[in-house]
Amino acid sequence: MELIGNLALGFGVALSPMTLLYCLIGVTAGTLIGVLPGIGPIATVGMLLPITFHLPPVQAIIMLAGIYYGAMYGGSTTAILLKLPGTAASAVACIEGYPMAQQGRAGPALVMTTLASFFGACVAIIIVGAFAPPLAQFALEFGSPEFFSLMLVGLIAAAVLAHGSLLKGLAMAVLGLILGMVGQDVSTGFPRFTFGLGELYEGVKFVIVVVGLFGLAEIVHNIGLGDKREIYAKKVPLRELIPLRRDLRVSFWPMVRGTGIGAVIGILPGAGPAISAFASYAVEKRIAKDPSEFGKGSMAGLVAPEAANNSTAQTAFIPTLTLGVPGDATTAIILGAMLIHGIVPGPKIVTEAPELFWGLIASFWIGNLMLLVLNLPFIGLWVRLLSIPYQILFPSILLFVCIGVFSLNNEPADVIMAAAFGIIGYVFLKLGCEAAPLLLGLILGPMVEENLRRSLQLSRGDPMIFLTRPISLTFLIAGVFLILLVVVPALRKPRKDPTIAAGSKES
Amino acid sequence: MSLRARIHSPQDVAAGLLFVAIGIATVVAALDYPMGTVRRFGPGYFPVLLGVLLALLGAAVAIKGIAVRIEDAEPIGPWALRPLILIAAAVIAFALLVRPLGLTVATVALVVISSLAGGRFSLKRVIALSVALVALSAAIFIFTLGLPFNLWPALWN
Repeated sequence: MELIGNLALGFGVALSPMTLLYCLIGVTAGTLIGVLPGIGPIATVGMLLPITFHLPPVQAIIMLAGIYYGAMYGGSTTAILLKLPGTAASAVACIEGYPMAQQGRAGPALVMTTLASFFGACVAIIIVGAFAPPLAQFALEFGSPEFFSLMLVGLIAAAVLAHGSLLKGLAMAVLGLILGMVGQDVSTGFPRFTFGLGELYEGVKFVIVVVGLFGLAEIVHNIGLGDKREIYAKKVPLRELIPLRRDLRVSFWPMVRGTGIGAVIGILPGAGPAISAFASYAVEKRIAKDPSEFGKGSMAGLVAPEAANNSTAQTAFIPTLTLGVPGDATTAIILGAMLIHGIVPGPKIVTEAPELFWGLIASFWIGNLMLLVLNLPFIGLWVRLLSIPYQILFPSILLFVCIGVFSLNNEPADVIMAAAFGIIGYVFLKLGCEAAPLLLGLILGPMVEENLRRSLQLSRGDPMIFLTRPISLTFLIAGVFLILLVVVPALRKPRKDPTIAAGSKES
Repeated sequence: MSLRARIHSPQDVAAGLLFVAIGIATVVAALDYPMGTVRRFGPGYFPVLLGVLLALLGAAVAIKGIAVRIEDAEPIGPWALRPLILIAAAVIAFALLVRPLGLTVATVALVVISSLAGGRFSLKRVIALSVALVALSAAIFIFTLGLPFNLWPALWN
């Protein structure tokens, strides 16, 4: 039982007091921002990113991961109580959860989503532990052409799943690749797009782009919208939290199905929790005995997507860690953080950095347990946080962002550049261009170029190499399939964009 | 019929043109770099490729925005210029002040400027928030994490 030995190693790492502390900080911060509408997990991970550079790598990554899946828990709380999803992935929870709250069943709805989240995450963690090492083994055989095709699929998937049109998503991904070219060329050392600025020789700093495009742009956008939150939630007394036995019974199979769907979607590079929540909701609705119940507070429609998005949040680490191709924007940021810490994710990570890999997996489980404890008794507290006025919230966030960016290198120019990316990010927001594909492009840019360069060197300039190698061909077919998935229905019915239905406005 | 009436999605047209402009600029800049060959990329090869691709995608986005009728096309909507300028200004003020004048002055500047960006401005709240944030960030970043910040203007140290 190699898995058990590995998990023991992981728990050894994850149970050290400092690691536990950072895990707790991560999941608490994640729940907090999941609860606060308008600040998404991407923005928060981005904002806290600079601070993690002062921590040891394993703890930094554990904390960032905690924010990511913590936000999945917190997001559903506001979705149920206020019909305001804290994250895109919890938007589905509004559909069934809010009617339940209106019927006075907010307590059971909150408890069941928390339990479903825990269930989905726990099963998915086992899947990560069991499947990541063989996948890494398999990926060891990948050469440059395979990696190039895989990254291409990841970029296409990010564009397909982005909110708005496919073309804009693809353009944003390409723009990200171009941004990734800034600085010295990896293989020749030739400086590109530096405009003579020494600052840019090492490339556009990823943290600055994240903070600007996601953090600052989002703050500006939210102020522009005005504070329209209305507190619907009243106090939720503890004894009202206890779900009925019937709730547990009707939830079991939807939770299992949601976990399964979420796990599969998480493994796909480029597909994140938002899409898995919607997919599993659609499945539940289709197979339900009484579909008319949906939209009026169906327990199955609430717990399945919740299990699915948490399951995805865990299995998304499989491609991120073993292939170096992140599942969505948040895992992309975590991948970026690993690179900054000198950890290069890829097939070798399982064998070369087992304490990081298994420590991360064990910390996932501990983090989810912490979330269970944080969420059930403290729901009242999280609800009360909603009443913090935005005028107090945004200057505070702004300050922590500025301190974080400045502390990277004690360099005021970094902070000014973040402000510039904030303005750029706001322009893109207004033009309906989602920044997530850009981020993926920025991180993958140098790797895409390098693998393309090596592939063509290998084939003496013949691009057919990508089609003649079976694994690479499989990836490319998957990419074409993804595009057809969007294009075909769009041609048949031009006015409705299927990605809007998926509502994957991740922020 | 005026051109404006025929543009179905001003959002797409503007985004498309922006992409075309960035794509062309990329190609122009990258043409100065050694191109190399397909077998052996120079530093210019991939950027030129990407620039062309971006310009083509941008053109497609723009054409789609003019030609394809979308019933629920989103308008660009009003720009939140005031928050945009003030938030950027608050961040830049922090950047310029933190080194010469220290964290306290930079934080107060950031809170005051950003509080002008939205909602009702309340002097009492701004003062309370400034004090709280200076104390909190000094506690976290200077005393706990030990980051090399000056709390007060350099002259005082």
